[in-house]
Amino acid sequence: MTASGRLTAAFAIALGVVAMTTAAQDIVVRKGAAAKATVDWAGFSAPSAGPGATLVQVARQDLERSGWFRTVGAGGEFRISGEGAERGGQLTVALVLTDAGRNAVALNRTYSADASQARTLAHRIADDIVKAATGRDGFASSRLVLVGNRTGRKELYVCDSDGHNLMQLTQDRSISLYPRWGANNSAITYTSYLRGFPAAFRIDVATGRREMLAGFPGLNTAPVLSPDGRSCALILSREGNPELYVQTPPGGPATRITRTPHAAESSPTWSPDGSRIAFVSDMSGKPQVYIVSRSGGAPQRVTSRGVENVAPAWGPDGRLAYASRLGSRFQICVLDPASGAVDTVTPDDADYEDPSWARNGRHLACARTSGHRSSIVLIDTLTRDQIPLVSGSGDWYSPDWTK
Amino acid sequence: MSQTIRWCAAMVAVALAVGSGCRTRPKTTGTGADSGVNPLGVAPVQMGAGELGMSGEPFAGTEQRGLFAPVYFAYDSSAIEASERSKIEAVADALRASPTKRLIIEGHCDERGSNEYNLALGERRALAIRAYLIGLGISADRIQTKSYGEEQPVAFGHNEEAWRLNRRGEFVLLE
Repeated sequence: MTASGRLTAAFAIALGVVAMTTAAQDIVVRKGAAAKATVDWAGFSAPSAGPGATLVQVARQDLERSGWFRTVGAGGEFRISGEGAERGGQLTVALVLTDAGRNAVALNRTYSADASQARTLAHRIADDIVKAATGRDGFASSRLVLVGNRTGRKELYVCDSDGHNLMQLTQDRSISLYPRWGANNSAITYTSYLRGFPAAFRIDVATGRREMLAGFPGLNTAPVLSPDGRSCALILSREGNPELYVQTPPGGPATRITRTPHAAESSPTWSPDGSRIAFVSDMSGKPQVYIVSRSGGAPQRVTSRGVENVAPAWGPDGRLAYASRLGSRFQICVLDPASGAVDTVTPDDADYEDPSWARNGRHLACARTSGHRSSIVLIDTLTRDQIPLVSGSGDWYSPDWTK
Repeated sequence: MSQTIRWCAAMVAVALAVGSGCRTRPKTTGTGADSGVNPLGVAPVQMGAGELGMSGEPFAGTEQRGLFAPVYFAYDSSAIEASERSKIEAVADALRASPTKRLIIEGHCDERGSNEYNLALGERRALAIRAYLIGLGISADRIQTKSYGEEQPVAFGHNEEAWRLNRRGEFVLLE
């Protein structure tokens, strides 16, 4: 079997096994970890310093972070050759990816970008390599929106998939919470106390323009745009109790979805096709995850294990990640709603909360809290590998990947 | 008046408020509000039934803080404890004495549990106090709620005592 064939097969097995027992899955996860292909850059020439060097360094790290590759000095199952050069402030890359097992060229492309964009170009190249080698989408070009408190207030920040280029998005000196990308990553919705009470806002990323989606008396929170961008799920309490609503269009008339006079709802997340919404409700007495049709009806409880199950994130392949209180810790669990199988993907060394799926449906970003300090980590749900993304200079919460 | 009698009176008043609230129920979009009206004498308040809804704009104005004792809650609960009722009754007395003043009830949680869920829980706490005040005869349109979840602790420790002090409802009077 070719290296790319093995990679694809390993991934398919690992996803399929979610339907089986935990014990069986552990075996396959180890197989998945072992299935990393080796890749070498021996045939690629680039300057030892400057933008060309940065490009190689960043792309190498991206390939490692992708979960599919292990870098070797030479003789890799995949071989990267070509040249990266800077001329007159312009970075030009000619790159060939060879699948050594099949003795075939998997990718042959030239790239050009302003030298100041070396990191961005590297992410794009890494995603092309992952796609060519595995057939799967990479997430190196994705970005994160997150909440940080290093100014003393909770503000929104954005950063690249490797935690670099961290930039403060809001300067509200208020409380900013629960940011979510939407509308093909052209918008960020979030909750802010900018006007003195919790209201739902949408930021147009390109222009920086901000509009209020809901500012009724009481609670207006957790706005999340539907995959088609034409609706917004959110929590409102204006009818006397926190309930789940859907606004169509965002900011428009709100249809009430839940009717739980003795319970509170929170944390909506849309199914990939936009037909359903997963959310948290304590209608059973403790917070648990439920799924309801976007047009209403009876919610169906989907979590059973764990005292509390919160902060669901619906992934592109249909799996739900959420934070589950197991013993005294919050852990990230992954549920396949089709089979009901649950997989815990974090170790018992800290509290893990607020998961968000990368667009490959394999990696999760989440908040990791240890000793009352919070940082953002990347978790490979296949191998359980964990990589720090954003830490230090205050606490970091609520990451959300571009889709 | 004894606690018990006051509590019973409050219950009757709540039932009346719930019933009479139908006349002034704000027009809602979408599928509208529940049709059920709480029968007299049954459980405190059917929150979320629409009758206790908040209409108009969020209150704004000059705030007076610290006039009243905070109302404390049990972990993961929005139920009003018997020990806290007299604090809410003192607020009702003040509102009766100053009929032009309005009230914001701020709901807070301890740091445990999910941040997003805590925001909803804080709102439930504020709404429970609001319902109690409505039960004591205060007009619903004078009272709004604001949840801070776990964002504004008053005690910064990570222990039972700090958590107890942070699970609270606070009162802000508006001129």
